[in-house]
This record gives sequence, structure tokens and C-alpha cells, in this order.
Amino acid sequence: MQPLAAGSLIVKVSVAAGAVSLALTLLFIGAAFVLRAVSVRREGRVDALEEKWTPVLLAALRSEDAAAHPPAEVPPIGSDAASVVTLWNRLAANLRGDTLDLLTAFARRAGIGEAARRLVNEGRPAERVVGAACLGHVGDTNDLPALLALAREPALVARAEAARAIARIDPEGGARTAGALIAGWDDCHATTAGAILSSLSPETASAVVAREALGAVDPARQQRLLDVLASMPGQAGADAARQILAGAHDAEVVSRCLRVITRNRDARDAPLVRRFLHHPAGFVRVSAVAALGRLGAPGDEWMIVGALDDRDWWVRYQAARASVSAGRLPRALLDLFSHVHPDRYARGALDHALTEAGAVR
Amino acid sequence: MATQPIRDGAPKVLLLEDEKDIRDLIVFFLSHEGFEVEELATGAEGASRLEGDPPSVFILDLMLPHVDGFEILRRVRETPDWDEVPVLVLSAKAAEGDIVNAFKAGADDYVVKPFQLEEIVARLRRLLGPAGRSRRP
Repeated sequence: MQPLAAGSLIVKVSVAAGAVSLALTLLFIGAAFVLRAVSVRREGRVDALEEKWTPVLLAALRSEDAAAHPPAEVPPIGSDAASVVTLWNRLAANLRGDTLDLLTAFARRAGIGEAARRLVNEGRPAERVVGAACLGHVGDTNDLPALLALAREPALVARAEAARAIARIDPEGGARTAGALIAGWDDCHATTAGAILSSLSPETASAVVAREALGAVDPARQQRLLDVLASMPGQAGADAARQILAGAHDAEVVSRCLRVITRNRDARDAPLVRRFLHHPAGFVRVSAVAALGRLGAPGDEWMIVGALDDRDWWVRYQAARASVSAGRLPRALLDLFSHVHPDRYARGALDHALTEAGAVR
Repeated sequence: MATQPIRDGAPKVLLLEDEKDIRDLIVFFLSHEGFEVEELATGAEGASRLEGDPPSVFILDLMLPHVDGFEILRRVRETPDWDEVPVLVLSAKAAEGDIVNAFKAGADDYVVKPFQLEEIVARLRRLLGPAGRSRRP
């Protein structure tokens, strides 16, 4: 009897397992249908809203039609604020000049700006981004505190949108109040931070970041700020780099200062840069050679050629590239060097750079 | 794609643009300015359209699905009856090289996105010559 009982138990367990599997499968299928239905309903709602709002927004782009659409005739925004503001943002992204001004005036008149304000203050993270983009166009300085608060949010996308909005509303003031904050966004590439700061007032932003860099005690923060300064225009960056360079011992800091100076392209900096052509750190020599190539002081072409037989491959390659791209030595002479230079590594680097330049041409 | 109601003698604009928002903007504005606008959304539609009657003027986006705007432009210039159609390129590509390449490929004018609708209208009227300039709704 025992084997029969064991067999019966196995059958029961198998049937139960099958039933559970079937129930779970049906549950998942049901959940998928429900989610799909919700998604279709949401899409349908957005489509219907766009159908209603698109003609209204388009009419606002013709000044005579805009007058015919006072706020009383505008559809109620209600709980559709995010969708309406998103649609408005999409149209605004393709427009500029007078047409954009008309659309912006309509946003103020029709309560779209107010809806965007609510999204920034009370919305979910994605809605706050949408609201910020609209508020930047609406251009009310009263919105700056809320946008500055958004510029301190954890999500980079929200911070970046807030910075763009601030740049539209008050570039000069935004550079003063948010310049250091934006420059310090460690999760944002220095080039991107530089571009955002440049969209504010570049000179003011550069002065703010330069001041921060000069006062930075933490080397990592100073390096970061110098990276940002190397990615944006502004005389203040170069001034700060010169001052920092005068007392800098950290090779990472020196290298970054040289990059900031390179961006400024002032030949009067050449004597300062030349001091670092023989720095013990190869990456500093790379920055120095690249800087001399860009600064264009007379006679430096021969100092760059002198770096062709550096012990570090990367310096040799940079010297070769600088020699070719600076264009101060005749091509025939560089060709000759690439054949007769006593150092075979220098010949190789020069040959490489000449081939690259030829390919670019 | 939808075509706006035809008005007698209205200049026919062919608009090839994949972004619906931009199509909506341009169609709405040009139809109010007295143009008859035909919309296309993909490069493939644009390539097929070359077998039909040419428009008075062609507004062409460069970054299109299936067949890009440069290829469409090249085909326009190689297609009899279409080779003289003025082409206004409307593109987000703002690099000097892209603009030069578009003119080399046969574009007559180039507008970078974002744009001003009135600028598009003014440029279209210029491309259409005296007839286009004098025609008002």
C-alpha cells in the first residue's frame, strides 16, 4: 500500500503545482491586459487633449487670431497640466523670435504658465522638468527661487532644465547665484557644465567659478572647477589659472591650469607655459606642448619640435600634432623631419601626425 | 498625409518633415498665408512623390526616416519637371558644413530650426518670385 500512497502524493503535488502555475500565468496575462488597457486609455486621453489644444496653440501664433482667443475661450487645463505644458513646450522648442513671443504671451494669458508653476512646485520629478522648461520661456523673475531649488534636486535632468530656465529668465543674475552650484555638479561632465554656464552670462559665470577655484581648499574640487573653466569662455578663468599656477605643486592642478590658459589663447602666457615643458609628469608636459601649439608665440615651434623625442609617447605624439596643426613650419620641413630625425620614435610620431592631417584634409 | 483645401491659384507647397509638431505648425501657418500645403512624413514617401506633379516650392527636412533629405534633394535635381522646383531646406543641422553641403546638393535656401514662421513665409515668397510675393490670402 505504501508505494501507492507515495504515488498518489506525487500526483497531488504535481496537480497543485500545475494549478499554481496556471493561476500565475493567468494572473500575469491579466496584469498585462490591464496595463495595456491603462496605457491605451492614457494615450487616448493625451491624443484627445492634443486634438483640443493644438488648434488653440496654433491660433495663438497668428497675432490677429490670438486676440480672438481670450482666456475665457481657452479649454480648461484642470488635471491635464503636464500634457498641456508638454505640448506647449514641444511647439516652443521649434520656434524663435516673434512667433515664440506670441506663443509665450499666450502661455501667460491662458494659464499655461501658472500650470507650469504648479508642476515645478508640486509635480512629480518628470513634471517638474516639463514645468521648468515652460517657466524659462514665460520669463517671470518671481519663479527664480523655485527654479534655484530645482537646481539643487538629486536628478541631473531636473537640475539642467532648471539651469536652462534660469539662463532664459535672468542670465546675469543666474550666473551670480547659480554659477558655483552648477560648476560643482560632479555628476555632470565638465564640458556640459561649461556649456550650461556659457548659456548664462559667460563673463560673470567665469568670474564666479574662477573665484571658487582660487578659494578651493579641496584639491578635487579645485580640479573640477578648473575643468569647468577650461570648457567655457571668460578672461577670469585664465587669470585664476595663472594665479593658481604660480603656487601649484600638484601635477593634476598644474595640468588643468595649462588647459584653462590654452583655451584663452593669449601668446603672452607662452613664457609661463614653457616652464612646464620639462615637468616630471608626462601629462603636464602634454598639456604644456598642446598649450604652446595653440598660443602661437613666435619661436615656440622649435620648442615643440624639441619635445618630439620626449621619453613619453603621448608627449611625442602631442608635439607632432602641435607641429603639424600650428602650421608655422613648412610641410616640406616636417616631411623631412619625419624621415631624418635622429630619434626613430620622433620620426614615428611625426609620420603618424602627418598621416592623420592628410586624412583630415 | 492630409492636404489642406485647395484654393484657386494658391502656390503649392510640398512639406517633407518627419516631426508632426513642426508639420502642424507649418501647415497651419502657410495655409493661413494662402498656400496650399501637402504634407509628407518620411523619405520613402518623398521619393515616391517625385513620380507625381511637382509643387511650386518644396520644404525639405534633412534628417528623415528611410531616405535622408540629401538623397531626396539629389533625386529632385535629377528628376525632369522637378529639377527647377525651388527647395527650402529646414533642418536642425546648423553646422556650416551641412549648410554648404545642402546648397551643393541643390538647395535654394536653408533655414535652421528653431525657426520663425514669418521667416519661412518670407523666404518661400522670395523663392516663388514676383508671383509668390504678390499673392496674399
